[in-house]
Amino acid sequence: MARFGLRTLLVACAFFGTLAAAPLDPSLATASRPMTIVLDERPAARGLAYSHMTIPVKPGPFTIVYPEWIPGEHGPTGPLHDISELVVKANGAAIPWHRDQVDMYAFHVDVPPGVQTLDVDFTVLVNTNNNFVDGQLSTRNMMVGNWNRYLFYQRNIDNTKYFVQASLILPSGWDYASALPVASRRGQRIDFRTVSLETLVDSPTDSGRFYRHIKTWSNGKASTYLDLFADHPEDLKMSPAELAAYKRMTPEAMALYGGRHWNVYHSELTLSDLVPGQGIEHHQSSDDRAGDDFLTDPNEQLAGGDLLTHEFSHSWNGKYRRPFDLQQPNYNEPFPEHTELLWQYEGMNQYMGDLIAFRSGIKGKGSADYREYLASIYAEMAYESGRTTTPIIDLTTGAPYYYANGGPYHSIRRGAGDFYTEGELMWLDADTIIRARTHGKKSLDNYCHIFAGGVSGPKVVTYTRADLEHYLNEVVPYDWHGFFQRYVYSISPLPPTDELARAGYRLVFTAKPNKYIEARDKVDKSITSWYDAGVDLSDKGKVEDVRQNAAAWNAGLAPGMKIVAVDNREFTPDVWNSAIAQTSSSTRPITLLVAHGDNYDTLTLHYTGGTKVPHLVRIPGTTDMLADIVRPHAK
Amino acid sequence: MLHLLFAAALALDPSLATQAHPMTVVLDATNAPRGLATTRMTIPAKPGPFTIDFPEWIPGEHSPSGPLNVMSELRVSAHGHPLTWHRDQVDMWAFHVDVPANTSDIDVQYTALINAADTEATRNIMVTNWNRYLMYQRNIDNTQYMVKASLIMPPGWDYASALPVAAHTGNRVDFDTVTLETLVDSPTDMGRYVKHIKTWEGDGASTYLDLFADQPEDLKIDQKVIDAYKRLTPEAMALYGGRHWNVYHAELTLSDAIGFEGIEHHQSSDDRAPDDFMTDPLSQKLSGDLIPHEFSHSWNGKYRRPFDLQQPDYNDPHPEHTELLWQYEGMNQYMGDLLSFRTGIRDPKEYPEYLAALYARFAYEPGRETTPIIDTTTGAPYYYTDARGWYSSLRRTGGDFYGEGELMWLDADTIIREKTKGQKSLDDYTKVFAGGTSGPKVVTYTREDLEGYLNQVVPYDWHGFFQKYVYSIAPQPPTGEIARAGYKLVFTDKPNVFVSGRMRGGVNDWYASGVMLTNGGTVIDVRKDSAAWQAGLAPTEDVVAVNGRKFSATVWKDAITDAKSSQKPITLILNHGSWFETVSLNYHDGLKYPHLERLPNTPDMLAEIMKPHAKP
Repeated sequence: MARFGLRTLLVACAFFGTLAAAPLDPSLATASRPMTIVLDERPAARGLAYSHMTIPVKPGPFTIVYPEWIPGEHGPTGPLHDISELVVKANGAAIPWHRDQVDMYAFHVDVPPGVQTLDVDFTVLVNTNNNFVDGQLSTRNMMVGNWNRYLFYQRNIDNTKYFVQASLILPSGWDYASALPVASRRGQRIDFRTVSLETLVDSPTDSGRFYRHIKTWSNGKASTYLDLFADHPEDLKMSPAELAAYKRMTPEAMALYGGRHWNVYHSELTLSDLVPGQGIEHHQSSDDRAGDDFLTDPNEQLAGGDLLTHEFSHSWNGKYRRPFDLQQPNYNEPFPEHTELLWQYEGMNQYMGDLIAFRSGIKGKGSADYREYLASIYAEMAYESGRTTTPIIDLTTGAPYYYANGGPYHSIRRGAGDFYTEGELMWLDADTIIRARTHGKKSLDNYCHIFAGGVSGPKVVTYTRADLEHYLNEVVPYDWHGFFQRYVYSISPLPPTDELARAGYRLVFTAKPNKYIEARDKVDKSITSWYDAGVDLSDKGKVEDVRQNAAAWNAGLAPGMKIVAVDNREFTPDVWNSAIAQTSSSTRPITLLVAHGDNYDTLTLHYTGGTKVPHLVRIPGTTDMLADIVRPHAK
Repeated sequence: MLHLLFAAALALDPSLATQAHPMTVVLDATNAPRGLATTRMTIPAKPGPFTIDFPEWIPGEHSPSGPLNVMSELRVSAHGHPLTWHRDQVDMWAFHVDVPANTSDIDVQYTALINAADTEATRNIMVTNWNRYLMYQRNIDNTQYMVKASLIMPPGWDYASALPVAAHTGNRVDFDTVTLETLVDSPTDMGRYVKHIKTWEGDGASTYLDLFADQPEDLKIDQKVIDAYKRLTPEAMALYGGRHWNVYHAELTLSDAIGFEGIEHHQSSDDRAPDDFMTDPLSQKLSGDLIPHEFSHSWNGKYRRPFDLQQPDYNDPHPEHTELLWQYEGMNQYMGDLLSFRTGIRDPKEYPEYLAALYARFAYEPGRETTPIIDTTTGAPYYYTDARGWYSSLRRTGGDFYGEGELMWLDADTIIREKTKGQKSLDDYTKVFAGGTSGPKVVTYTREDLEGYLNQVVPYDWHGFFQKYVYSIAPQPPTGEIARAGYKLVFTDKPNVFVSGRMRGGVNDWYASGVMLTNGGTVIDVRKDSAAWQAGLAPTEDVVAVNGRKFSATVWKDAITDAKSSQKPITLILNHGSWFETVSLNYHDGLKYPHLERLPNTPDMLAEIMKPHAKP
């Protein structure tokens, strides 16, 4: 595959701030003389690690870079603030380094004559906050290990030709998981085999005190693992039924895509309330982070059970197949990711992750639960006012900004989450179009086979929008270009909607709780009152967001306020819910006592209509497509 | 050096917004109390592909911090018909449109989510920086790009601004047409509870203190405090020997919700402090340099500016180069403090205590052994926005070139005073650097210029001086100034208010056991290789108990004091997430706080430096 083809060059030139891409420099780190890195994690429990590197160089001005654009994070999020106590030495003597005037990730040194290798040491401040990860990556009992945080490398090289031999020193009593091949292990030191920089950065290596390795699937040639790291040993105890569901994940994913592009796969999952929730995809592993009780609380699995399946699906969609302009030769300037095609990379993957979660039985119980889930995500997108001004294409193109910056009034601004959620609606729409036009003979599963079928080890094959439309036309001829033009590239006043009726359902709002929204509210400690009064609250009454022009908006509620009392009763979720429910039979306005900084204001909520919660109901006499979509597909 | 991303600066495009045909912006802030504003612009454009930018590099913030997340509901239209806009694939601040034939203006509006990046609006106040409420033609000279701005306030609110006013009707203010540079340089704060104080007038010029409070009682300020602030302009003019403003508004918000910040401008400053800043003497003692610091920037930063920091506009390909912040901010930290003591905003007798705290902070920062000041200035765009979190003493921070800058410029001041036997001082340098009287303008400088000015005052190896303290790893901060000023540094068990004053009842045991704790016992930072470090304390852990007693600041200090006469280690119970652990703290040297003591029979230079200098 041409990693740096003509098309990429043309796009790079189109940006007025950049020069035509300069040619890459020859890699000085070869398989026979690799860069080396020893990561000493022994002080991980106090939020520190020490990185010791030898970096092949040549005499004269030389530049090393700290990774900036982190694969899977889709932004310039490399955590510079992790770096401290940087010392560069040549022949044992410290030499000065200086940061570039513009590129904060580039460090210049003058390599003395005759020097072929620099020693580079720094202290990693593991638990610093940045815009992408706000919180801890290590606790008393575990450490999330992403190699991009622990290394520098030669600037402007091809990361598939730059070789690194990495070693890890663990705290005593800790174990680790990684897709990296091991050369040797002595006590707490693991020496990995020399691999390309691309493979190293693509291979998170989590470690911890309370761990559990579960082989979830094997066919003799390839195998998959679930590697758990907990803050508390009891959180490692999954029920047999749940474990069985996770063991169905690999067969279902392989049935969906018709093959695999990994030889081994590790789902590395941390279970800690101290480490913020996250999921980052890799070719042969995933870096999954969830709360203490993720595997032991059924609400957690219903609300977020697609975490591992989503990242696993990315091994096909995102790592193997990758947008032509997102794929770059390394992690630094002048090679920013172009993120326009995330509507495939993340949008379709949101659907695939949910599909695999339902098909394997991890998330919910079949179509009855999927329809509740679908009603909730459809309503969420349909009742987001920002959609009338901001198209999905701005959210994907602007992803490097949207991922890192949110804030109050999310529903007016929109966010990176939208191309995931609305992506699922769009790709379900495509699925139902294919099913309807082929009378059930074909489905989006056929597209997945064309897109990412076959068996291989890890590799990257890029695609364009035209490629995707072509694959879809191979499955069934349709105006797929117009389809994406409408839902991604234009302002679309409603999210993709036809899939509901095509699947045999219609959307209704009733007072009955939605099982999925209920689970999510329990996990998030929130109150969803979005479709009636038009406000999302914390369970303490804090205003999280207000729906534009809804009753709550007209009453003057705004983020930053806190509802203290409802009709003179101290705020509780029950008091709020009862007040909204009684509006079905009363037109009396609701009086809200609201704290705004140090001031208290009394607001009047004019709302009638009672509690409104979205559901899907069957349209009589139609085929139930959802039941077929989410049933188990693996043999 | 030339960064590979950017070619030699591209030629600028002709500005389409002229005096006769300016860009217009109407900021409707009626909904500010709920965190919303609407901005409506007409932007001069020409048919064909056209790009508008949202400001990215914000003057005074020294980083690409333009808050994109403030923008929502962007609408672009021409002749009443919507135009499709699309964001650039790489530059997130650039938006492309196709302008139809026969179009000379496009209409652009968006909803500003005011509090998206930080709290700038409360129920009673809005901090208003125009860069958040406009877009403009890409790649122009901001001194040639003309804008006519208007403001619509919530009913009953008032505002302050250095912008000249064309008309004020009801809650709408129409400003005169000014350059984009002037508009972005003119914050326009507004609020419900407002007080305007004229602090100085003379020679056709005047200065104001404009206060905006969340609580009306916070505007009731002691007359002695106001009198000290009224001495600020004369002292600053005496220091610099002139002025480069015609009017100056210090716009100060008093709000716990908005918090603490100061951003300099040519004829105004955007100052933000907590509710009781003007009424609590401790706040003035600790942070009374807020307004003097920003005022001093009118000379040092706005009038005189580093040659590579000054840029023609606020967007790519024009990033600020921040290397020379050791002058821009470093000297200004000294000047701001100096003005606060000379005016009596702070008591000049307290400067030795202040200096002891400042010196000790940098002398006991382990990160200084590996990271030179030049990395904190060159890396400022990163340090300002992102250097947060655990172990800031190992990483260093953007604050270091301020605080250590003060030590360095005080060192320079004492060198000049010693070498000229008291005939000259840094006050002579400031006059060479920024003397004279003019309206707002920008004159740039290089490092070589600064060294030239210093050599005009007194010949010395100034190049080597900066090489040692800025450009190299300096194991100690500038130290010679302490003895030269007639003092020595000592550590005693007597508290220093500048060490512990900001701790809000917490513990600053940095120079003793080596830890800073909140009043609840949470570890803020641990000094590398100190006793607390050896005991294994780490940030975010809670000290639950000390020798079996429930933690309080008093229990901690008593235990440290008692351990002086004991061989037994102090026993700490720590809480880390849901785990508890017992550790031993082996520390027996008692409480330690830095102070300066006079060297007998030497002149007291600090008293001379900090005495009032303006003629009454």
